[in-house]
Amino acid sequence: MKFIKHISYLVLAAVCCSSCVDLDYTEVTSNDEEWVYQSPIYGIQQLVTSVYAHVPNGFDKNYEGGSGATLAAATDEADNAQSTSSVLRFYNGGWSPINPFDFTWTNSYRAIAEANNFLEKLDKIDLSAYQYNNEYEAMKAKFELFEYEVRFLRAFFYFELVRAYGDVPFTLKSLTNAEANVMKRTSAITIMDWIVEEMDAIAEYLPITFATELNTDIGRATRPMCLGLKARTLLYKASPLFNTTDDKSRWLAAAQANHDLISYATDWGISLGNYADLSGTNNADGVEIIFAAKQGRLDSWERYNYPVGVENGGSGMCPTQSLVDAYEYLDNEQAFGERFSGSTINLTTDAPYENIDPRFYATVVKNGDIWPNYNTAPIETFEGGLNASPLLNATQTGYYLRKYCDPNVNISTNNSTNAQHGWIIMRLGEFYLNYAEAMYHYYGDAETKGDFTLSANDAINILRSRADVNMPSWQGTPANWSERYERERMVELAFENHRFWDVRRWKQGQKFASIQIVTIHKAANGDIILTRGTKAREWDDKYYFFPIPFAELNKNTNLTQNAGWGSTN
Amino acid sequence: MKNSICILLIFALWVSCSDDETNVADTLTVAAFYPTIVMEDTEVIITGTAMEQITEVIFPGEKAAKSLVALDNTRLKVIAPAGVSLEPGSLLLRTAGDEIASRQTIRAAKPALSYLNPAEGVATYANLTIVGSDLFLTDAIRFVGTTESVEVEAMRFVRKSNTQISLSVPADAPVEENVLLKLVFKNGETMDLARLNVEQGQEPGGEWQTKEIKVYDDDPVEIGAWAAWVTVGADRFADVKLDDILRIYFSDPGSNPQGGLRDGNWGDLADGTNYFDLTSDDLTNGYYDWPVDEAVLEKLQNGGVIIGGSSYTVTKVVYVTQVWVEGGGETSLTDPITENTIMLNDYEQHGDHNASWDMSWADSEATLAITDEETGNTYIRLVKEVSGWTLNCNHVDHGTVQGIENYVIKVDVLIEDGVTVPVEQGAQWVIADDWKWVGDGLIPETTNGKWITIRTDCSALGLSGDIEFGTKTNGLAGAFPAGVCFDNLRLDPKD
Repeated sequence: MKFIKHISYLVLAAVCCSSCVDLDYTEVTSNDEEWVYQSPIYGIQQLVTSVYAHVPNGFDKNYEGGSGATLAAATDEADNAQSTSSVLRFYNGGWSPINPFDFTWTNSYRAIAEANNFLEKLDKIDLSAYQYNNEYEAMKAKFELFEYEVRFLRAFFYFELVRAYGDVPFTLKSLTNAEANVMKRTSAITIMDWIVEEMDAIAEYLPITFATELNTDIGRATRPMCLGLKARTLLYKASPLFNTTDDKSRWLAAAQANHDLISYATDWGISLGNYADLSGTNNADGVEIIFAAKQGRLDSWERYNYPVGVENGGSGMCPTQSLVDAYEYLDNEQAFGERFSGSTINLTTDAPYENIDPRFYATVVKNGDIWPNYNTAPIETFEGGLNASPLLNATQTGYYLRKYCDPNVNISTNNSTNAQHGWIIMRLGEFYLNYAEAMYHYYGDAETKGDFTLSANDAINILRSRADVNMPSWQGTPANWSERYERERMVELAFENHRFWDVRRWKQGQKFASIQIVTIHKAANGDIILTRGTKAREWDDKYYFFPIPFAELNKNTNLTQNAGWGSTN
Repeated sequence: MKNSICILLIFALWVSCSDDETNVADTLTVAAFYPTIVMEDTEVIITGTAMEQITEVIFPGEKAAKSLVALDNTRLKVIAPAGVSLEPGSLLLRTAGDEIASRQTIRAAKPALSYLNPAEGVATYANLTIVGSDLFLTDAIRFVGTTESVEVEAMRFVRKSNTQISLSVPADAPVEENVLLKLVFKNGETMDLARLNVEQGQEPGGEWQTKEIKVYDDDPVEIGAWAAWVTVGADRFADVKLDDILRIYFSDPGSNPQGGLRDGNWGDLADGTNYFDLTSDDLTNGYYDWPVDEAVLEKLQNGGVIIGGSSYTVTKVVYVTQVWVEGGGETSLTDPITENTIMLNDYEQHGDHNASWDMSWADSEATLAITDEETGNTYIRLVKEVSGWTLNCNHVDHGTVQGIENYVIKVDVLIEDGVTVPVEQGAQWVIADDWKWVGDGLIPETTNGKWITIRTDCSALGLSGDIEFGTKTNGLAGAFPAGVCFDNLRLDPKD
């Protein structure tokens, strides 16, 4: 009891000592303003770069702003083999307003504060002193775009906030502490509507790609990103979590926005490439990529996710059997979980991975695979195998992660290498899925095209007919269409940080109440036997939205807490 | 314990932020607004505080906003009036008892054309650049011919800024002389910009390819002896075109297999489709075809098709069509070499000069001159990764090039299949001994095994005026992997 009392004192003391910089504003004006605006590259450009630097990615800016697990491990896509990972708090009861995963809140508001500050002082940018420089034209073209880039980013971060918290304080101007301390929450729908209007207003001023600019920078805001953010926002707005009155017109608006992006994509040189190209070096430059965060050369993802038994491998996020069950077969529409629904599967004689959706092989490492490329021994996930229990941190699902790993990255102590990685934030495939979902919910069937050029099934079939996927096409509107769509989305977007949010916006949180795992053992005759199992997780409907950090509530009596997370203040 | 926590909570609330919480939301401030250039009816969004109290917004020229709507207390939407001053000035915001002027300024747009590039004539599919001022509020560009006009909406522009608009001339633009180019603004106003001749151009970078579009690949259907039928709905044929081919894949043919094709009303799809014997070619191919003529097209799109017959199993139904594949062309991706081209190095044998001689500064172990046996063309292939001199030529006298800003430096590049070029290239052009930094991404990650042309505008490199080339060095330095090929380092006049 005495210990608890001490902890309470410490927590409260920490609250008392917390800064008064409400909504976590950074001191964006701490640089000498005169110097900033007299130094275009090191001053003004740095203001913009700083906003970009807040864009999250799964490699080194995950749900906590660090590296390691991603939100995939808080869903039924993956189980984290490392029992000390903070990602477990999403479902083990350790998530609370005091312990709130506040990175999205703090990071987004910092970015928004910096954006507001930048946009309010646009008129101070004066490049006239550089007009006789050789690079003046390129410089001018670059600086003219900053306004629109920053406006895109500000909207992007508001989407991050709304998706996580629902209603949030909304400001498009810099705030003093006093102003921030009395901010109330603005409805998520109002903010979503603003995002849409903002993207409509700025898209046409941004380049389609920076490859044709005088400054061929990469990763900067583009026109396709604007359309992507608009389309994604409208899909969320139409989804049950936000569309509490089931307003059908929202699905139509979502269909229109996603269709617009798909239509423009052709003219803009964006197309579906090979699914396998979504991982590995140069994945961020693929033909399908709309928005990716390039991370330079690293091996942290491989170190975290390569199997134990591979020197320095940490096992990390292990794909679940729940995910594997979602993969369909090339020869008919049955999914793994339907074809092999029994409690045990003889992997040697039943060959359950034959003819499975090729996206499985681009996402999952299974028993018998050569992985990574330099490993000479096939992966063994059966009990006692080279990469299995009882080794510490061995997979508890029977699988290891392939997605986003570059199999040429060597993490051994003596021969280590690294490679460039890119975290995909938007890609064309997502928008085909968004479109199919919106069309189905608006028209109530999957074959109607309405005023558009594609039906829901057409969009799905385009996605499934990639050169290296080529899965059978969908026809008709069977009773389980929606369920099959959700499966397709899980498969296509696996480990890209969509599932965590998709299940929430569908209000299907119970899906996260347990995951399917397997144990694998070698029988006396040498056959490899897979036995299904279930691992329980905690789900509470309050998890649909993140808790507002207690520290913020404490500073601002006008802020209210999200439902289920405790008192309003 | 409980008491201790309560005391601490009270303490915590007492010591937390002590800023004066006077009602700052009621204090009139203006933080920013956009756009800062307007025409009549342009929507301007103003951010600040106390926006719900604003009763009047005055634009430069003493013109009051046409309307104002407070979106909330921090955002105000106003509609710009006619007659706003061309001289920049502050926005004046008024409440019942207060007034504030913005620090930012706003003014009326005065769109004007400086020049077109190309100036007089342009081909469909080609790029057209409009250089001028206050082009910001352009919503579309209209090509007006004698009988027809075509509009390109702003979202389809390659690029739009306040001083420049670039676009591809649409394929269906009127092909004739003196086509009128109009700017269409967001408020509906238009402005005649110029007249130019539009010629028929060639569709760039691609080719027509034959593709099968699946319309049925569900469970296989054993037809038996006219016992079972496969129905494919009309919606599956929405995109089928004249001269496409309907193709039925089958398996397990028995003796004397026959096909049969009905329309959606069980009539014959075409003469001769009631029943027909499958040929030996059909059996070898594993499919049989039926051409899509006008009558068949109409029936497919109105009622679909019903497939029957005897002694085979339908496994898949497709139609075979032609689709345009971007980048599919073999030769159209490289720029032509013309009489105006200044060839810096084509790596062919010219007297004493050839690739090896001219490339003397490059890593001789990394660069290999290859001669295509079929065409006789010689080019450079990197056989191992280079970092530094990649191409150079310092032996050929090119004299003086006048107006270098009017030239584009180019090189043809082929990246072999399976080779991916990292974006980090640290590339530099070397032009007459002058090193010009380009940086990363000069060369794409792949060219899909095809030759393409890489271009950099010399003016973008800061070059201008007359340049004495003499026998100074020209070339390319950077970091590139094995499997990249180069040819025809050259200067071409701008289009």
